[in-house]
Amino acid sequence: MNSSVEVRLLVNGEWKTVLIEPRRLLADVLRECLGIRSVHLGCEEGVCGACTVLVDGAPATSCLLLAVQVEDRSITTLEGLDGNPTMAELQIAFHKNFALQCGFCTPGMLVNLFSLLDDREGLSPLSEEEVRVRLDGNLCRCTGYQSIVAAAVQAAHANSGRVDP
Amino acid sequence: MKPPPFRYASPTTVSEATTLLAEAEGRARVLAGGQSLIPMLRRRVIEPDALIDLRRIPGMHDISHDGNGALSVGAMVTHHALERWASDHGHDLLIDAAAHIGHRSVRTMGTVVGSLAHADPAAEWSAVALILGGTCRIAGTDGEREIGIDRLFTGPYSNSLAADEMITRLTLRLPGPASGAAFAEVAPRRGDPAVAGAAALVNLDADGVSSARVALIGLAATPRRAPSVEAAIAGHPPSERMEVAARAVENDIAPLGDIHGSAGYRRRVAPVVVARALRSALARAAENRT
Repeated sequence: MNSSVEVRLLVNGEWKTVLIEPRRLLADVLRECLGIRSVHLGCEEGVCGACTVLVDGAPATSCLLLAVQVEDRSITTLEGLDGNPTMAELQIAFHKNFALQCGFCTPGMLVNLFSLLDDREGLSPLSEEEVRVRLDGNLCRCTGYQSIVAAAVQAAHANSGRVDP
Repeated sequence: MKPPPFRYASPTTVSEATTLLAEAEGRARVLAGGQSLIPMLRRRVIEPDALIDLRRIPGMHDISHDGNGALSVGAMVTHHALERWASDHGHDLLIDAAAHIGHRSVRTMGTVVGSLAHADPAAEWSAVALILGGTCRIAGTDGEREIGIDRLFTGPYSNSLAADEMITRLTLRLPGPASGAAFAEVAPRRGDPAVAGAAALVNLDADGVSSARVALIGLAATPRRAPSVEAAIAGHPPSERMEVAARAVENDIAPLGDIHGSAGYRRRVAPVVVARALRSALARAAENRT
């Protein structure tokens, strides 16, 4: 019953194979088997959003997924978005707006906002309301959200004006 | 806590899946998106011997429309996939309801049919399925059967499926052109479980509301239709009957209290969600008639 299974995942563009019990959660496999530490476990029941990753490009709560469920699919964490121009805009805006304090929720916020901006490339800038709707599943206990929302709106504005080479 | 140990299977056919379910004699659970199942495993509310994952069965991810108003939703279709289909095809009721389901990151994996099978009394899609004549295709080791959605729910978090059965797809009858439909709910915060919600579908003719269907969530042990509301609004010019119709909901509910809202609060909020859903459905029907 506790026998392990081999699971292959495309993590940040690289195929990885892990030998795990089927009950292992994606968030734990990313952190403990693959050393990906931007994936944070907060509530562990899909409420706080700190473990948000992209599954085939769409945001998902990795504490509510078994790793076996996403076998052969593409998983992107914050580490995998390093150097991406849209992520860079977000990071600059978070810095300028003091949009983080302890930083625990920040990777989940950034990954979720990245997918929002990435889906909208070329469209009009985001409204504050759209950002608030998108972040309804990401809790921050430090900032009170104003600075995070401001940063996201600013990054979206910068992103919509950017022309990729 | 972490989920307890279980055997995991990802069969590639429906008959393989139902055989595995039968062999487990009620000690197995079907895994679709897992967005309700995994929290239950983590809390050790359930400790199944086996999980049967449907992800590899062909056709389970398909949404198909027969061009005649019947929309078929496979067992692995996610909330977000149906939300996107609805927004591409302009189906306001489905768009309204999807926006209330969990958070965006939960809608990526959570499934429509999984939510129905989970039989949460406050699940948004149940109200939608109840007013759109939803039927579930059910597969078991003895073959297939089809039941109306009202016959699926037997109580909070319990359904009428036998141990060897699973739902393979949901079929909805999409509203026709002279109708309007809407969904409204009250929850502590966006994405939280609904305290109470209502879905409404109305048809208008020259005399007013020719027919109405209303369904409620969070207001009884199961999602259910609201026959008193439907009777109060049908056959009248809408503006005259809104108040009466919304108040009639008290005959259609039997609210239970929980951490999200007491039975008394739900009783207060029921006419509010009914009125919101009806007003919005009527406005859409009026727009669609012109």
